[in-house]
Amino acid sequence: MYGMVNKAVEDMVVMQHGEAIWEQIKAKAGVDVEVFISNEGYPDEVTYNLVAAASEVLTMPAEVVLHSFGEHWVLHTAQEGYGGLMKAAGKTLPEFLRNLPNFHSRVSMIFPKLRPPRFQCSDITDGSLKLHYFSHRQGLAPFVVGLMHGLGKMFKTPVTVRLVEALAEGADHDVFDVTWTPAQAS
Amino acid sequence: MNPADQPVSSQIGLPPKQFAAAFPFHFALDRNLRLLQAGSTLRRICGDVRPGMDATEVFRPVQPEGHLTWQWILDNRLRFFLLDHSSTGLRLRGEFVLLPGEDTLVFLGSPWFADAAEIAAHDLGFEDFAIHDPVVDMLQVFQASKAALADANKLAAKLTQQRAELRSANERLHQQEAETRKLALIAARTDNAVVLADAEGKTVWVNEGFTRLTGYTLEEMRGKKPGWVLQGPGTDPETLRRIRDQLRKGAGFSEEILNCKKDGRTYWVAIEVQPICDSAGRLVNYMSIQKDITAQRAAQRRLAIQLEVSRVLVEADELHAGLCGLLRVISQNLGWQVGEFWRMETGRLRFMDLWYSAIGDVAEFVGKSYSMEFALGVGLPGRVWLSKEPVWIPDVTCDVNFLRREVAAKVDLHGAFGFPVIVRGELWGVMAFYSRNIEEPEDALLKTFASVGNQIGQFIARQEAEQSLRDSERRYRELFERTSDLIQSVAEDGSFVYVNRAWRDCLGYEEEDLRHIKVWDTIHPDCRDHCANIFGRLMAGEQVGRVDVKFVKKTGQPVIAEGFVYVSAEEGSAKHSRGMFRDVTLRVQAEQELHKTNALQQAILEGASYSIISTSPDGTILTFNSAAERMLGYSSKEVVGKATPAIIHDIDEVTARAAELTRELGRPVQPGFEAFVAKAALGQPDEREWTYIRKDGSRLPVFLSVTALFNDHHEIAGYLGLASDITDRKRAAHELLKAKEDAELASQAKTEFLATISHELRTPLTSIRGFLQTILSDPDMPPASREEFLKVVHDQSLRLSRLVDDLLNLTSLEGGRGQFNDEPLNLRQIAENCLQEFQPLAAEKSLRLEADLAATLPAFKGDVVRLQSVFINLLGNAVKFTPGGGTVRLLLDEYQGRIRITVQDTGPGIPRDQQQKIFEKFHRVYRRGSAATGTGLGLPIVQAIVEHYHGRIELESEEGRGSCFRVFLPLVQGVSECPLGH
Repeated sequence: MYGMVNKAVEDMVVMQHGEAIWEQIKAKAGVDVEVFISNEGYPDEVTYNLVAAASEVLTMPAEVVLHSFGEHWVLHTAQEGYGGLMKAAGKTLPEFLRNLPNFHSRVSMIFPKLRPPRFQCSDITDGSLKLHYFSHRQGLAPFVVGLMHGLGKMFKTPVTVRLVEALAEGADHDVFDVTWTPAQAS
Repeated sequence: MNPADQPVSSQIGLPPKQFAAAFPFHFALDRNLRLLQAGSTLRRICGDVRPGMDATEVFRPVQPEGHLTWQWILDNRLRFFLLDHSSTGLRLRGEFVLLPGEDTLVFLGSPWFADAAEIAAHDLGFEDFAIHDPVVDMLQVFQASKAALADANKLAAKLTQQRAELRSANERLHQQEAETRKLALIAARTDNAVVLADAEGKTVWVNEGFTRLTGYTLEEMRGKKPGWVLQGPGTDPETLRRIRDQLRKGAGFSEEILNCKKDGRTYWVAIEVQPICDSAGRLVNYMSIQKDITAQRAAQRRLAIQLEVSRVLVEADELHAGLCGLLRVISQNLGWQVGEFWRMETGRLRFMDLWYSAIGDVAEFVGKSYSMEFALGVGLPGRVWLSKEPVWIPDVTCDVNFLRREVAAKVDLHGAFGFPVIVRGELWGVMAFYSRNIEEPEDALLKTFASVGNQIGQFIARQEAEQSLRDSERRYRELFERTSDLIQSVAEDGSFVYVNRAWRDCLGYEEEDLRHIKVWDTIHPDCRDHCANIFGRLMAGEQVGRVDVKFVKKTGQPVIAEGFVYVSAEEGSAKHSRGMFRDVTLRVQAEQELHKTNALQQAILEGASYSIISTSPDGTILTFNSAAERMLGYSSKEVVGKATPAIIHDIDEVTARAAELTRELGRPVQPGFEAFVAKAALGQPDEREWTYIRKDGSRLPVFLSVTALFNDHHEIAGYLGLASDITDRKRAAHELLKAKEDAELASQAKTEFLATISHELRTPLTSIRGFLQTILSDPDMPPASREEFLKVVHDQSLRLSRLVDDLLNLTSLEGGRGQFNDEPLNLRQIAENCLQEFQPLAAEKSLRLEADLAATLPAFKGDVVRLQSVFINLLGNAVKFTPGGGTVRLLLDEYQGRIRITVQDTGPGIPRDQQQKIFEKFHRVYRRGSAATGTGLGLPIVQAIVEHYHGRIELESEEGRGSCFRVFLPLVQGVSECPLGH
């Protein structure tokens, strides 16, 4: 996982719980890294350990931590570092979601060590679409849900996300049914 | 599809749609640099990019530098171009391509952004770019680079911070190492003993200070617990127990403890022990620092002895108890067994007192002391006497000069010292102490006892002085107790401090009572405010001095006292008011009685209407009462002590009285003061009339009674003269005499009046009776005669009637019984009527009757009948007495605020000697040849009426020339008229 992900986790914990808790989580996760370099690749275990330790220290289920992380990623991390690009990627939620696959493809080009997930949209209507999430990593569906909710907040469009097909349940990939209110989205 | 694109796409050989999607920011130019077509996105965001526009007005080349011309572009068409759109600032990057036919140049490029935010700023999105366009990817790369750079900066900052912290930590470490080295050096070289022990308390290391303090080396101590080596029999077991408790708990402690050196000497140390733990918290060592406090302890012991000595001396109220206490506290503080006091008496030091410890049997030693005495230089006391300095004997059993050395050895007493007690520079006694131990001399302790000796000497001197003072106080107290004056001492709160026997006896209180009462309870209620005021002033520091106080006995009876009070002002003591009073109740009562008597006498003296003058035996006036002042015009100040009664007497009278007394007494009496008192001095009353001469020279008849005043020895102490003013009495006597004379005159007048009236009445009656007898006796009387006679009878009866009327009228006027009916009158009318009445008679006598009546007169109120009587009597007299041919005038006018009535005639006038008498009753003016008739009452009646109206009547007459009567009646009735000229 690239450093920016771990950095985002750090950013979220520090912002919401303070530096001491982050140090505690790092210690519990056995992560002895002072500064995560955004475009440097780190073992996925680092991220998983951090999430697990955060779950333990913050006494929250890992799914809740990942969901919060997804929202935080969209609303803070991406905004601070990639705000311009995020805005260029679409002026509305549907537009952004439609561009998401290309956006991710370009990102994977820039970060060659990245093994990014792949997104695909289908069944696009004025108020919904199906988001296909292809990833070799397990258990990140709550993160995707958090991302979707964060995007809904960013575009001020109430959004409902439902996992309709799950990799963990034997499906080929995760499929999310994303619905929003067309009038407000346009 | 835009038609303008057609030529380009067709020339390139791409379908127009793909061309448009692939190059949304392209534009094409002809040889004149006119825009032929442009990409859809370029047209959208740059409104002036439209066919026909001059490209040089729309775009400005940035790279390469130059001006847009056809040829310039051709020359540079293989180069990378940067063009700025003039109006939006949009920068395009790309290249120019010359299309076949060489008449069209196409710019193929896309916008260039350094920041992703610029995309949105130009209202662009990802979909406005061709998919192949790397601009968005470049922006992502830029963003990733920026993020990486930020991370690198953050890392660098973190590293810098950590390096700084590391450097700081290193510095601290170096400092700690230096401190540790220093501490180790200090520990090694400090005067304090430092011991490092292992967790079991066994010595690992000791410093040089430890060796110096204890005499033990590191080698001797290593592996041994310090307590095993250093503690001795004198070490306090309780302290040891506390130390062991702390060590068992692995805790530090601080204690003071008595240890033994290697050579056996004891010493006091303050020990501080701290446990040392490793990083895991395990106890690994004990570090002990020991400070030698032997000297400090000795100083504390000396200080304690001094304090104890001071306390005993302060608390002791008599010498013997003080010395016993001193022997005890010094022995106990030193831990020694015996203390003795040797008193200097008749050239020897003799036993006076001792104290010895109950621990150990020293009875034989002290028993020997009772019978001992020392000469100069002998034994410990004698040596102290000799040197007059403290003397220390480490072991008396080895001292040949110590007489009791054998018994001392027997009871195991060794160390001893003594010090002198000096009083007023002379040796008063010696104190000596004995210990079971052999005691090395302590210079500081000896100095302390030299000081203590002086302190005891001062105490003894003070005790002697206090004893002397007590003796003195006892004497004074006896004096106070035996005096008859009342003495009291009162505290500031009013409670009694002391009262003497006379006070208690007088006021009836017992000593016990005084604890339950305040001074106010002994002050009479009438006097409490006064005394409270005095008490307050006293306590405020005011000098009050003599005071009068009214006490009240316990039984409630008042006691009047006088005395003085003051406040005791001894420094540092409470304020007491002290007073000494004398019971003057009897004297005051006598004075009050005397005062009352004096006041009564004074009141009598001053209230008397008699002149009271007392003199000394030689005549000097001593008393001159108010009546005398009023009577004589002198004030008492003018005469008392300055004059004799001679100043108020007529010298001629005095001379005459002296002559009289000379004759009466048969011895010469001087015409001076003796003339007043010669008889009184003989004890005889002398009362007689005198003439006093007032200060203003006027004279005053008095009746003077002179009495001699005798003292208790029957000697003449002075004289008293009582004189009463007899002016009134004399006047009354004179008036009585005059009244008698007046009564006699009135009686005479009455007799004369009766005689006159009898005559006046008898005359007509005689005439009537005579003529009637004649007529009656002669019946044949001729009628003419009878008629003539009857006429006479008629006239006489008329006269008699008129006489009676006038008499009644006058009597009523004189008696004040006359009736006056006053009313507003017209006097002119009355005058005219009266004149009219006299007209016939005047005519008959050929008289001129003239009138001059004022036309207007002020209003006048009066009785018309009375006023008519005035006019008629005056006019009647004038007409009657004026001979024929004469004139009678009546004038009526206002004169000086009065009514004036004037009746003037030309008659014979009235002789001067009769002008007053004519106003008397029955007085008629005698005139030769005149046969005037009248009652003689007319003018008295006029005068009585005029006087009733407060008027007056005047007569102006001259014989032969007529008379003029003027009557003045005041207009304002009630105001008396005065005669003219007055």
